[in-house]
Amino acid sequence: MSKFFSNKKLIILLITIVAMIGFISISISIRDRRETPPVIQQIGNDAAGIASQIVSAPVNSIRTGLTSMVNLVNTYQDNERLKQQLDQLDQVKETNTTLRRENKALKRQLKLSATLTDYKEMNAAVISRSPASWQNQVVINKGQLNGVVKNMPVMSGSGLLGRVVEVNKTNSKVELISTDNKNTNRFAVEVKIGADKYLSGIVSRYNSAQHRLIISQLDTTEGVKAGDMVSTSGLGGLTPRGLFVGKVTSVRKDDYGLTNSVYVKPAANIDDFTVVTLIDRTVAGD
Amino acid sequence: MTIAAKRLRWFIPIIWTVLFLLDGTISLLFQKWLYHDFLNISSQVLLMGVVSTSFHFDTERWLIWPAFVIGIFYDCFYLGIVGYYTFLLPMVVMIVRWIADYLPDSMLFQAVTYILMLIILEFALFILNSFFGDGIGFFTFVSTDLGPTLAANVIVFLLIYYPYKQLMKAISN
Repeated sequence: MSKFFSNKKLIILLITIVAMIGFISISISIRDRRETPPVIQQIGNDAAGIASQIVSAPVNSIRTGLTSMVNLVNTYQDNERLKQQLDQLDQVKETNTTLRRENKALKRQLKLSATLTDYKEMNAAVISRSPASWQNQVVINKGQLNGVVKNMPVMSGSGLLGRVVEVNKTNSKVELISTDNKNTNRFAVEVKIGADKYLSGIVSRYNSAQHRLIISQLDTTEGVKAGDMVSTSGLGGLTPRGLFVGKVTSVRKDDYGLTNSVYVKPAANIDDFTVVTLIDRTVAGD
Repeated sequence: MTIAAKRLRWFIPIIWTVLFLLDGTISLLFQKWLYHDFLNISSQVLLMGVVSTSFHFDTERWLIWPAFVIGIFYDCFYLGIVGYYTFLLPMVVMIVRWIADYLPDSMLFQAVTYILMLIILEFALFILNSFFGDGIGFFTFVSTDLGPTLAANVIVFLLIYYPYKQLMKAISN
């Protein structure tokens, strides 16, 4: 015992702890400041990304096989349900095209090239997930070479899932909307409470016990009721307007009873996803 | 250097690299169950490999260097912040090497060492996170993170202890 904690070892331990804290602080400040990590880190990440895809290939193929088997079982039920929706779909599609054409014409008249609602989509596959439970980060297989930029919003299925926090050459990291990280950027959202009425707020937390996003900092919660649609507001300059977030489930008082928070059931399946969609906002933020 | 020793220097880093990538794959594959309501389980297969290897080859002093390099990769690829595993993994190797002097190489003692290292690692990560303002409360950490992580990883340890031991045996002679 006495030999292990000799003076020399204690000094080494002390230096290691100091170096550790130093490295982490420098690393955090670099990550917050730069659009992409240093080149050496990028090369390491790209190599690890490629190796990860090789290692996970057999596992993924088994997973795909299982999923398709489960899908086969569910197909009949799905088919019944979808048939009912199909009749309405044609009508909705037709209306959509007409409205889009009209919108384009009106924008041209106003000499607007792009507005807050305009965006381009890009699909990516998830290749790995950070094992650290305090991080809620996944790695996707698109990077700088594919046009990914830091802070791009990411969707999964029909709802908002998170945003890009680090971009390498061939892969990038996405932080999920469910993160507890207090230093991360927040999403500006709006709750639709009437035909033309919206309330702006910010997604501030995720309640993992109930699987609910919590919106706070609303001016008022008057008129908000369960079932109201929540989508991004396009304010803040990073996210386009109109990305679907979820539906309101309840309005509750905060711990001190001073303000109200709105609880939202996210539309994206935050617990289970393998494919994501990156959103590229056309109007650049200032 | 004998041929067996040379082979070790090649194989151990490769095995550790595969385990390191498996951690991410496992986390993604079972994300539905690992990151749940009051359960936050982090897969620590790499740590198991590092502990088991340094326990088995406690005279190989160079093991600290592959641990350091893989630690850097771990930090870059999974965490995006360099400094956590870069220093913690070599530290684990050193502590295990010291413990292995006093304990016989058996499943029970390896399991105890592994649990001890897991607690030290998770606790060190918790303290560092609190220090950098990203912390959860101590009791929340123990009940939702440390406890489930220990339980799940001990089961994984029991499952892969024997195959891993055979692998170590195969590459060392």
